[in-house]
Formats: sequence, C-alpha cells, structure tokens
Amino acid sequence: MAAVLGILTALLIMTLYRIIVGPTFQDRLLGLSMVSVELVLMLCVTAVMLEQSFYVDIAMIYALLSFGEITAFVKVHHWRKGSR
Amino acid sequence: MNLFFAWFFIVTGLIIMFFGALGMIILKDLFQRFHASTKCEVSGAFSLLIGLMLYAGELEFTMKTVVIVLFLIITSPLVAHMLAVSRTRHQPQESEEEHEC
Repeated sequence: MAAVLGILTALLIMTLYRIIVGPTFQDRLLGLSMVSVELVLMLCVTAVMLEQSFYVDIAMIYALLSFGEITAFVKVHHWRKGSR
Repeated sequence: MNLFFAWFFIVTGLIIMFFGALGMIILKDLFQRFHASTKCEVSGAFSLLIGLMLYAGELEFTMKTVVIVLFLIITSPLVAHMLAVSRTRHQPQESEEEHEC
C-alpha cells in the first residue's frame, strides 16, 4: 500500500507540471481537476493502509469541494471576460 | 483469491492513471488533453477504488467508496464539458496560444 501511495505521489507531481506551465486558464483547471482526483485516491489508499475509516469521509468532502471550486473558477472567468 | 483480484484492479488503475498523467504532459492541445484527463479520471479511479474495496472488505468502507465512485463518474465529464464550453466561448489571445511542449 505504501508503494501505491508513492506511485500516486509521482503521478501528482507529473500532473503539477501542467498546472505550472499550462498555456491557458482552461489547461490549468484541467490539471487541477486531475490533481484533485489523485488526492482523493491517495486519501482512500491512506484509509486502507492505516485502517482509519474517517479518511474516506475526508475524501468524499474533498471530491465535492473540488467540483464546486472548479465551477466557481469557470464562472468568475466568464464574469471577468464580460459575458453572462 | 480475493487479494489477487484486489491487486489486479489496483495495478490496472495505476497503469491507467499513469498513462493519463503522461498524456497530460506530452499532448499538445487542450482538446487532446481532455481525452487523457477524462478517460483516466473515470476508468482509472473506478478501477483503483474497486481494488481498494476488495482489499479492505468492510461494509462501511465499501459503501463510502461507492458514493465516491458515483460522484466522480458524474462530475468528471461535467468538468471537462464546462471547460470546453469556456474555451469555445473565450478564444485565447495570440500571445497565449503558443503550444510549447
């Protein structure tokens, strides 16, 4: 289980590359959505590894919050561009 | 036998997630990156969480993980669609459009 956690951390660093050098706003948000999915998976792996069930609750709340966060970013981008 | 299937699904999920992250790095356009990101978020996370369910084998963990899987399957294509609509409405300026990879 610790090896799975390490591989997921490596994948998260690979995805952070797209957030840092992404040419446009939408590329960065796409990387953010994938980073949040990988963090949810890491929290679930931690819950299995430590046998603590509350990490799964944190993963559920994190998945919900990341969706609202990306929606809010896209909406604010629409307002700043002056449509809707 | 249960543990064998658990590790099979976990390794399959990790391979799919790896190719998704690789596609996020090496693909050149935003609409090509949607292909990598959405497919990996849905199928990779689904497979890895099924493997974790089989590995843990507790009812409490399984029910909470089913909720996470359903939520990810609903919201991941929704996010990609939202970003695609945002991209087609606001075309980027010429200075932002350079794709160096």
